[in-house]
Amino acid sequence: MDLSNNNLETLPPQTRRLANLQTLTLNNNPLGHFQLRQLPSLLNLETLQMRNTQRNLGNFPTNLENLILLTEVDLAQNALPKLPDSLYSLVNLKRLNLSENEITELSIGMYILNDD
Amino acid sequence: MWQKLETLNLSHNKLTSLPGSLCKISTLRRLYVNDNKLDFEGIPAGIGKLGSLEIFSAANNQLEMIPEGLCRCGSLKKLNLSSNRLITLPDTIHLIHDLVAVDLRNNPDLIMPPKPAEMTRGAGLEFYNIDFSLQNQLRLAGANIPAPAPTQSISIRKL
Repeated sequence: MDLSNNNLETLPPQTRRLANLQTLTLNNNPLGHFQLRQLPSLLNLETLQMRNTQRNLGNFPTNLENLILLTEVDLAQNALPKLPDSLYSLVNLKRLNLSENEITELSIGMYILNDD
Repeated sequence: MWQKLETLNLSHNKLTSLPGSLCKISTLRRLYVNDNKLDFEGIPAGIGKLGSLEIFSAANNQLEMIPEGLCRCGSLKKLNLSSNRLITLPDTIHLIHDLVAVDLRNNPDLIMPPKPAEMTRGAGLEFYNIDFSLQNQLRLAGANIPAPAPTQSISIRKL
């Protein structure tokens, strides 16, 4: 579902019923007040594109470990000061774009990588 | 944890360093850290463990030098170090077999290192006793830095 470049400020709670959704593209919407609570329910999600959607540490969900199919996340252009911790629980993540944010360090969460 | 991460784009942020734990992501193929505030100290020496790394792009940072470890990334194909403050590079840069593109533009003080006298391993004491510290590399490149006091231990690197 591609809802890019609109003036969306939120998504309805029924979004959580889109259990088969594979790609969610919300780029360039002013979703600053949108908590993305439906996200952990989208168990078939493979791609999440939220470039320039006013993501911050307060409106990014904290429980994403069930999104085992999520392989691509685009959070560019969001003024994030650091990585949201829940990103580290995305075990099958292959591509992560965090360009054009305000990240000063990457230390937290990285320490829990397995020692191979 | 990121056991399968292949591409990580952290360009245009405010990073002064990358964590050593980044070097454990053995699946990493492309790392983009352009337009940050990285200097030599900010790149972990263990970066050579990234055996799958094909693209390392760190343009527009504050790098005076890169760790010798980066030249040991066996899959490295593209290296972008343009618009930094490079003075020199490890001479092992000449040994990266698969390198097809190196961008070193806009490093006005850069002096390329000579190729190692012997391009093969086990070529003699000289090859093993290379001091890759920044201080020594700068001195070799002609910067006005006093020579370090003679060091006790000479470690033979396990290449």
